Amino acid sequence: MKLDKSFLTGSTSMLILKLLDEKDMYGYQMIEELSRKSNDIFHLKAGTLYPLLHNLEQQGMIDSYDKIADNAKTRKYYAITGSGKKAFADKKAEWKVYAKAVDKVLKGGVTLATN
Amino acid sequence: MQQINKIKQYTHSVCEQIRWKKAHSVISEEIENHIIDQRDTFMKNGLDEIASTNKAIEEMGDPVAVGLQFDRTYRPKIEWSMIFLTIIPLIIGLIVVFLTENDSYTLTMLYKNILSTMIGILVLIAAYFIDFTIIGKFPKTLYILLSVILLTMPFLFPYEINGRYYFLPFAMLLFPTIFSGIIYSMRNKGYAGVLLCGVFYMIPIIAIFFLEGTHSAVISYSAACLILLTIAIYKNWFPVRRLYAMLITYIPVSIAIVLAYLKILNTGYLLHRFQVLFHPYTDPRGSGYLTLQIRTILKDAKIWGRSDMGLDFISGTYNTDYFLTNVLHNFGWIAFIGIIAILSAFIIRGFFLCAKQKSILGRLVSTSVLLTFTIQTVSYIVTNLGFYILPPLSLPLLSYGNTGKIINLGLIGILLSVFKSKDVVRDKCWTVSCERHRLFEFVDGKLIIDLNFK
Repeated sequence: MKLDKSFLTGSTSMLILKLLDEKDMYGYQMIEELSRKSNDIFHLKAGTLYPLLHNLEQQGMIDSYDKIADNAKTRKYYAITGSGKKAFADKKAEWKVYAKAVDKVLKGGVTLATN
Repeated sequence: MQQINKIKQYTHSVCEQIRWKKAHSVISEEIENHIIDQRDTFMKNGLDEIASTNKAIEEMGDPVAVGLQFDRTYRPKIEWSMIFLTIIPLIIGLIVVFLTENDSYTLTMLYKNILSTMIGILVLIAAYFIDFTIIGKFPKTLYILLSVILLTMPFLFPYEINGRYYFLPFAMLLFPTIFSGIIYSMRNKGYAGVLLCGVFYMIPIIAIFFLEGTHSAVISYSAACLILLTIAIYKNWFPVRRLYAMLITYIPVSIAIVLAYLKILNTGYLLHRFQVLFHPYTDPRGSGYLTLQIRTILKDAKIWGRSDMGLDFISGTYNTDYFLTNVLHNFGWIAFIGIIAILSAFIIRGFFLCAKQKSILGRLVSTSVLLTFTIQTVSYIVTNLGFYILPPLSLPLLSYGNTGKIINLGLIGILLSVFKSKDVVRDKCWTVSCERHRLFEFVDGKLIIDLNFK
């Protein structure tokens, strides 16, 4: 299904934090993982991902370190920090409220839905 | 090969949009790796190399747009708090000299002070813009160069005050920072690295061993180097057994301390000076004179304002060696504590920012500067409170003294240059040899001692 991109804007950082909350990953791995978890619906462009990762790192939400991979290539891994975990929890709570509200409106509005 | 060039061309276009050149290498390496991963996946799925490379680059998106996004994230960060905490003491230093020097030299002193402050600020700006990573790239060259300068200095500037070469102790202030580069370059060399650090530490000591009046500088330098080496061992930057590395470091240090103690016991005037330190009344007109003067000032100082005592304080060098005692006498305890609070704020904020540094080099260099600053400050405060063991070097940014001021400002420039770089300075693949070296190993009934000289 082709989705309107604006749906994803703003919540991308939340999705990245969610991925890193599970384990440390490098950029390419994150794109693969996101695509697999969303059944190919979220296909994040690398050109969007990396500036976002660097931005999150500067805000202190994630951290990075170099690790030598099996093919002797240096990979830059990212890990979530304490403040990143907190930001993720906040964003998730916000998203739930937002999604619930959208859902209610789509079902015909609060009053109708409750009556 | 051509395909790799295509990838490099793409990353080059991305980097062209990023104004801060230092960030280029971090970003281009990551993007290149990503495109190669993506290309390899396409090739595994059956596409040929050319088509895979083209598709992988296309998936990255418009290089200009990507570069502009990075440009927004990467801006050199000026640490305004540290600049503020540098300027305030500089101004206080100038004001105190102006208000308390009441002889005919006041104006000359003030002009000299302003001039050295301005030169110092220029040196700070230069150090800020010079890439501090050269300390990690050419530490040995810098170390030997500085040692040669140190050796030739007494011939170039045969300018002595009370039998001590004036510039020498101040030149020593630069060594811990270069020593941090030595530790950085030795960090993967196991026990041999720890030993070589010790060898490099000795070079300037030997260079100035026979020169009088450099004891304070040697002690400050040794303390700073020892702390830096201990941090490096503790953080496992040498990958070796910490206990053995600590023993390699601290056994010679303990021997040196014992030898120094024996020398004091056997040298009449040194022993006398130590005894007078705790019992100044035994020699009120000789070595105990200064301590007694300071004790009187401490006792009579007011909370705020000039002491009523008409004391004609300690002779001409008070703004050089007794700046804080002078402040206490003329302005009271609040001013005294205020100045110490500002310097403490500088040190605490500095170490806080230092702990945030990602690269080992950044951490080592900023720690070395902060240690140099802290050791000078603490020993100066101790002396100014009446514990005179060795002549203090200077109170960074405050006390009167042109060379000290310029060198300290230069060191702060290096510190700001580290803080400016944030995440863009990374240690190249140091994890390669993260494997711990074994000093002793039994193989086939033989004891193998591995110092890992490579």
